[in-house]
Amino acid sequence: MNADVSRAPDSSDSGYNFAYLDERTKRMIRRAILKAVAIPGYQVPFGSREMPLPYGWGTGGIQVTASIIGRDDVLKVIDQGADDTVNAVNIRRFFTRTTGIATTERTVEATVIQTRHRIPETPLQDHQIIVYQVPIPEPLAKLEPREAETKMMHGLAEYGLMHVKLYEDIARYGHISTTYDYPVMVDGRYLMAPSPIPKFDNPKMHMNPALQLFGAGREKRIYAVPPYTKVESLAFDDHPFEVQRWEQHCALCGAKDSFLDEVITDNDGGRMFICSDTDYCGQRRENLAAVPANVAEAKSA
Amino acid sequence: MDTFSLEHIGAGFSDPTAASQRIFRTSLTVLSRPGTILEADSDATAPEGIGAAANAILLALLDQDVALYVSPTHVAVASAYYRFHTGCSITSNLEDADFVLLASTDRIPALSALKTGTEYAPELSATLVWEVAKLASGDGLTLTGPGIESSVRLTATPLDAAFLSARAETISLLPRGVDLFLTCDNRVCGLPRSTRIRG
Repeated sequence: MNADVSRAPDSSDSGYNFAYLDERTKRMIRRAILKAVAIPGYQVPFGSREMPLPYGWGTGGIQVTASIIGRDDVLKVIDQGADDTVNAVNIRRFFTRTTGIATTERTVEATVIQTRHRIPETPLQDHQIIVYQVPIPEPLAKLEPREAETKMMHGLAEYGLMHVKLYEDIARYGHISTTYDYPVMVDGRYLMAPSPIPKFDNPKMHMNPALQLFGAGREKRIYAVPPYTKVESLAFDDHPFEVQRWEQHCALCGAKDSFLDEVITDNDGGRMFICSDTDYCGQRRENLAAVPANVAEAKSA
Repeated sequence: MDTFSLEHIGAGFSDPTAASQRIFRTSLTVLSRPGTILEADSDATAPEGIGAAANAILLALLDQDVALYVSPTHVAVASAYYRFHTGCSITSNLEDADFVLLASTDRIPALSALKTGTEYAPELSATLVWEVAKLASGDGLTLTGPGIESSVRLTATPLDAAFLSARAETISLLPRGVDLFLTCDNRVCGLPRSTRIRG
């Protein structure tokens, strides 16, 4: 334990193969990723390995990232939009130690972005790959626990069960109550869990220029949405899909268009709303500071 | 049991970790963006008659877990090479093959002769690496579907009427099907089952 702590943290760890996984495991995962890309939205089973962190901490995403990443890549890791939270920091350090590659907190500089539960506010570009950490890849799991049954439903594109669930929400609450992991149809064929991103992010998946890969380590599934692929959030004609809206702006950068986190500031009910995407918020504040006239404009807006 | 002599086998990747990753990423890019043509060079010495891109893709993706079918054109020179460098098994039955290497002079095999997966496990299907005589952007076929913003044109010879009718059959089988890498010398283009092709 102590030996680990005192080891020089500056470069990659020579005791491991590049990106931790052995070459045969990477090839198996790579073949699964290629099939996942060829069958958009379909969950490809793969031989998930034991990783040096527990299930639920992004083992699926890490295995996908480890299989695609190369020496010239620049990696960004976010957890709920933030680069500085414990899961993101540790995964970033894991790849720094096992690959020695460059990392960044800037969305625009990254070639590979591993994410837990958010899509960056800054639009992705076509040379980027975004890797989602997925806890439950099966969108029907809560409605039908038997995997043999859900496999059959996917095979037959029989998704009535999910529509009934959404309808029951409307009958009971007057609206669809799902706010995250909101089910989507990919290329009009497969029902897919977008991972627990807020439904605010669902529209960003549609026709996104970046390649989107999903890894579920415990459930041993990989799936993908190729660039420029139709991704439709389920809805009804008389109850169209809608994303969350806020009365407030970000208290730090004034953004009105980003996903906001509510932060409790004291014991007297004090609270503030701030951007969940730390890079987006930071860039906006930098730009505002650089051009003083814009500050006044933002305040009066 | 057949034996082979190592002296007739060309070199594989000099740095397998880095080369496999780079070639895989090229394969991933072309398969997720059908119609895009990229170079896939490596320092491996391909068996005679096999292009650099086809060779690199096979070296990067094959191992002891998969079976390769080699076109009759190449089977004599290539079987020992891939078995030695990757540990893959070589099969003479198309229906057992996970990867299929075809020469430009080959006809596209009937879909019924290939592994196309099942409705419930469409991933258990063949990946074809087909060396074509000509591969270029523009003119020719019109591709649409996932990975393509509006549409893209691709010229590949010999993607003829027989190929297009075989592909039309594939579309009716979705999500079952096979996925293609078209290669020409050191260049590669992906054609996944999800791509719609118009002549």
